[in-house]
Amino acid sequence: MYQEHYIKVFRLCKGYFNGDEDLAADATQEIFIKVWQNLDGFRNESSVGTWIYRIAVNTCLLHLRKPSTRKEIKIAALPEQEAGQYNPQVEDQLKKMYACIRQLDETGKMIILMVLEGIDYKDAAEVAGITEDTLRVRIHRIKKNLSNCVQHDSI
Amino acid sequence: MLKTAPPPEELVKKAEKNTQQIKAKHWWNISILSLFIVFLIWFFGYTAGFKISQASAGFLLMILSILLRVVLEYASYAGFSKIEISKSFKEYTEQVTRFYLRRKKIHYLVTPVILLVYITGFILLLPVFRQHLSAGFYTYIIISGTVFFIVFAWFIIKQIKKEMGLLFFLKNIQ
Repeated sequence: MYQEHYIKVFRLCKGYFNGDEDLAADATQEIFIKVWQNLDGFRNESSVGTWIYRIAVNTCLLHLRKPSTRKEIKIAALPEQEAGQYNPQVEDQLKKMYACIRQLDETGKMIILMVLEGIDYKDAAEVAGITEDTLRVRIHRIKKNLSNCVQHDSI
Repeated sequence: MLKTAPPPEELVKKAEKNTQQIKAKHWWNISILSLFIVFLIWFFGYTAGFKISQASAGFLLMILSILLRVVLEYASYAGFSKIEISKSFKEYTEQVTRFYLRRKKIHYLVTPVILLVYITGFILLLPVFRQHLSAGFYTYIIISGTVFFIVFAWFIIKQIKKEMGLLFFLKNIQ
């Protein structure tokens, strides 16, 4: 369970903290300590993954308040590209996209990060505490906002 | 970029240490509160035969105001740890917001009373100090007492600002 979810949770945290790997590693460690401490409270009402993601987003939420988590996105934090495939236009769009994600409200950011992580809509809705239909509507709006933002630099 | 998870044994060790620290902190708080209560019982027993003097009343008010503050902090901490971290984001945000709204009431209603009671206790003690202590020591007590109060109030104001900032942040999420 730990090995399976650690990297996913780490990437989710990294998205929350604008690509800061040190903050993400600290938060991930704290999340799994909480998972370990709350294991007795896991009641099989949802999958273990959903349960871990709930702890992850709630832990990150309280970390987000700290000013140190609101830094600019680091270039090194963007998805790696093969040297031969380097395309300045794609690179620029990716940078813009991550900057736009940073401008979303906290719930929007949490939803899009789960979507980017490939979490099922059903599980993502459970983590967010909204219905699947509401989640789909929100994702549609977020994608529209992100697309506007990438093209015109504003949400 | 982190490619693999640290060994689980390392994490379990840290989690156990963290759990022990939380338990130790809990027992430490309980011990301090128990000591305060024992002291108060002793104080009432000791002064039962006398008419409570201005000095002992002042001293008692100062102790009680600090005790009330410690009890409130401890009760708040216990309340926060009861919020289930594994709830959905929506439920968790709502619960944490409610917690900080209760804290806001404490900060704006109870804290000023605590500070006033503390100052009253200190002022009640001053004539006794003036009567029994040298002028130099009396001045020292006034200065150190005032400095302690300013530091105490500064920490409280800093904490209130931090918590109100968090409350604003949580309300914006909702």
